[in-house]
Amino acid sequence: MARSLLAAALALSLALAAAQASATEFDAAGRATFSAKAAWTLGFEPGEPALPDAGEPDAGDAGGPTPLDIAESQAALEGSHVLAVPRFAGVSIPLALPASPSSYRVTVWARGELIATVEASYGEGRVDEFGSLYPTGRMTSDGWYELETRGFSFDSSRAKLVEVGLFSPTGAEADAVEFVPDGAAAPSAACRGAIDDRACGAGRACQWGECRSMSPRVPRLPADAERDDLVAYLQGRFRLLFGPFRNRRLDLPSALAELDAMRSAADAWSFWRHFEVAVHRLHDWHTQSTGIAGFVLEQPKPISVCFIEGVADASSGVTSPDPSRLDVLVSHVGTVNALGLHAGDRLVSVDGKHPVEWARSLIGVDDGFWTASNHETHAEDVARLPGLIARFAERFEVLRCDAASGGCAGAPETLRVADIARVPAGVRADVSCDNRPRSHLPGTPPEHSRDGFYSGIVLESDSSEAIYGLEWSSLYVTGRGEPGDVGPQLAEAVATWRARARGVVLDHRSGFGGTSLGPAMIWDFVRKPVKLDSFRFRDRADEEGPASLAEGKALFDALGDEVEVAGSASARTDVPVALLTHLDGSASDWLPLGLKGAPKARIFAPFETAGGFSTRYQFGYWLGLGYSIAVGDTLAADGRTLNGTGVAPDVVVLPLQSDLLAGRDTVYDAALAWVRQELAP
Amino acid sequence: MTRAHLGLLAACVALALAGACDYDDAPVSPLSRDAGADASLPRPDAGDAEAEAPLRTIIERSPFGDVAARDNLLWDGDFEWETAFADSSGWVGAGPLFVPIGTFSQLRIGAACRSGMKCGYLAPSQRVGAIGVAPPGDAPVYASVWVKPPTGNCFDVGVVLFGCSDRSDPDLTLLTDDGAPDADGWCAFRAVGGARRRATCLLVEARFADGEALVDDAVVRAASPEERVFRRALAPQPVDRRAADAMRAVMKRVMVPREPPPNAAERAFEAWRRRPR
Repeated sequence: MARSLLAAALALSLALAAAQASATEFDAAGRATFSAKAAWTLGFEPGEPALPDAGEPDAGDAGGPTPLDIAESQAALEGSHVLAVPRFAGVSIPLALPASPSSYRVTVWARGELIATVEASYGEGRVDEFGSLYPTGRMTSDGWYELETRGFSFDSSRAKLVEVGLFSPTGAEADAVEFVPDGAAAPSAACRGAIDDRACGAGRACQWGECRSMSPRVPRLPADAERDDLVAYLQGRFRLLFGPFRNRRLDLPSALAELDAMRSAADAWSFWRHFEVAVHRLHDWHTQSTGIAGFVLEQPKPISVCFIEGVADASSGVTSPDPSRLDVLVSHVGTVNALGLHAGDRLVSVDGKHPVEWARSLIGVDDGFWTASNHETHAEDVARLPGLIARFAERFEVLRCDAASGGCAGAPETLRVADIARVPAGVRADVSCDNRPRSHLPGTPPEHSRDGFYSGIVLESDSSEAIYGLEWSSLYVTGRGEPGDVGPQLAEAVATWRARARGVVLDHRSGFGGTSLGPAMIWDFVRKPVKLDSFRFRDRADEEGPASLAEGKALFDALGDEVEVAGSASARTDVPVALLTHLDGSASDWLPLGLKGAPKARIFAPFETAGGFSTRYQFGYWLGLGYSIAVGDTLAADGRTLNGTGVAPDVVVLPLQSDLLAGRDTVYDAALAWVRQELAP
Repeated sequence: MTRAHLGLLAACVALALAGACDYDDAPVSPLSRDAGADASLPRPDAGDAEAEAPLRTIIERSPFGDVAARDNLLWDGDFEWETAFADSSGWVGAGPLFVPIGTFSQLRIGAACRSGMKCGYLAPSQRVGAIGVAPPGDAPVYASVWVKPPTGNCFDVGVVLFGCSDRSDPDLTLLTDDGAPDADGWCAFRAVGGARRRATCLLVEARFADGEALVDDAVVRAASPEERVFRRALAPQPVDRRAADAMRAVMKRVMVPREPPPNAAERAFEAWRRRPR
């Protein structure tokens, strides 16, 4: 009985919410008509004034615009025509709105899976404001469903282009596009970064120096009757299914508390932001919030400067706001907005905080927040600093140094984000932050690369010394030749080492994982077989991991063929292999794990790897809102669970500011020196 | 109806005599499928026999799906969070036309589904598996799913609860009350079984020659005390066991560390987004 009442209450609540939210109306026959209050409509009917001459359905690389695919259809929701959106194609529909300071409720009806956005551009060819459309729950018996965003607001005095974007991963139809005034427009306002969020008011956030509307980017605020269930359901995903044991102990409670705060959220943006932040609070390398903003928005002020943690030995007289943290140094630079910085310069602070502390403080506003699973290292934060500074900072302090003299200025210089030049649309940072101050192989690009694969004799060696190197970031090996599979290249490199190498330097300082088959190809080269670990996909809702090392070891010993074995009988244990790590997670955690203890392998790094010993599953709510999440943990042969603890280097080497100024690569140089000591005959 | 189906039915009848198949309530989808035609929708005059049949009716549902299943042990039993951009997600496809194995992008959207906005569909001979975990403690397991076969015959799909990675927990066949769908063509499959130790998956297999079956609102959870009284666990028939073994093999390939590059849907979307304006 109670359940029936609950269902009835929910239905009533939904009906009321729908009545308030509905724009498109239906007559007795089920024919749709636009709202009388609509400011702009498009039904894709021939001769309709709003109908563009030609849209832009294309796959991005398929050439110029082609006409909208409009066809007469007996199933049309409004009128007699519908728009077809082909599979894997997008359509953009420009529109003209009255120059009134209004925000809008935007609705589109769809059949088939449709990703819909509404976007405004202020003339630089970039999107400045956007909204993502989500289902309202209204649908028809013949397959149409309503997508909507509320409160879409932009500065009509600056807007050069307003358009609706439609994309389908399966092929879809669209009809009855409608803009209905939805209150006053949010005023255009400048702001000073994340520290100035109050300047923007509810439902908005400060990004790139302007207040941006955030409410149109998230689904509606759930009706009261379903909110508790929705929050409890989302909590259930975390509580029952999140895999890493250590992070469950350390981080799950705060994530669940963050989800609890959704219950009392007053508006849609607050509600869904709590969800996003809760994902961040799980503090795991594989676990991230995802969304559409990264696809839609383009960095107007790209900063082509890469940072790396190290020791500022050339400027030790200048202290950072948190001297207990590693210093943040310029590793290498590009040309677009390099700000006159060079390798060896130093980033002292951002908005008055140590750069790492500042980046961590953005957990509530940075939708791309990314962290190591361990609670010790910050390579992910530092790698993202250039983009974060441009988006969220007001000012930052740098200490300029001189390569010729090896000395630095006596005091930091303050730079303001507002003074950084905006670039034309399409211009991006022209350097890749790969944690490699220098490259040591022929053929590597000057702008560095995080997705290349480079192998050969290192620049510092020759064919008689025969020290080979590898610079790469992916360990994605499928054995089936799937797209992105580096297996064939890795196999060729290992075969070369077997035949010719007297030493090998593996530069994996940006390691983004892959599959278990990737590390195994290198383990087979460096060591005889050893039982290493077992990845454990989460088994039980109440599973919290072994209570002790002894229990963990007993469990491991009982696993039989579920255990991963590293190494091969044909290993070359006479060839020294140095592995360089820095920002490494998942399969790139496993790689050093399997090298540990090999007779002629050493790991060189400033700190442990990310400790992301799991894998991710991905969930998306209409693409606008989603998350990836770790679904398991790994049991080591000694009984430890591994997620949340990275692989420590055998040789701790911190990049030195003095080396960067002199064009040296501290970590690589240490590794090369060791390999030279250990060369195979 | 195949011999296996007859066997299942016979087994169910036998168990029913012992109360085992006497389902006291069907799986509840609390988000009513027709939570009311839109209140704003004018209706044809009921007294006007000449009134034209409407082109369509308007339906209202929660767009968030069956969130009343708070403790659902499946990652995404209602399909609402499935996305074409994922390379690993809560549902895994297998069988003809699934390439590559491991992704499941066969979704239907809208009123055709049982609850929420999205549901899955299966073509002939295809299987789909939902990934989940075992209930806490020693709690018996409850499993349910709605399936709408194209034939109107509930025996034309098979539903099995199985251990995702091994046979340490018994496979369980889910059954309907009587093999007949409800008025809308949906079959309510359900089972209650013993406590389980390891990751638990739910399989739906298409056993028809033409058309497509819709799959929606799958739930695996700890059985309530009332449900435990009516413990019913039908040992799987060979056809179910074969399906479970085949799906288990797929799951073992999928439930491993794996971070592939962006898939085709994501690459296409990104390429479109980067078009010049």
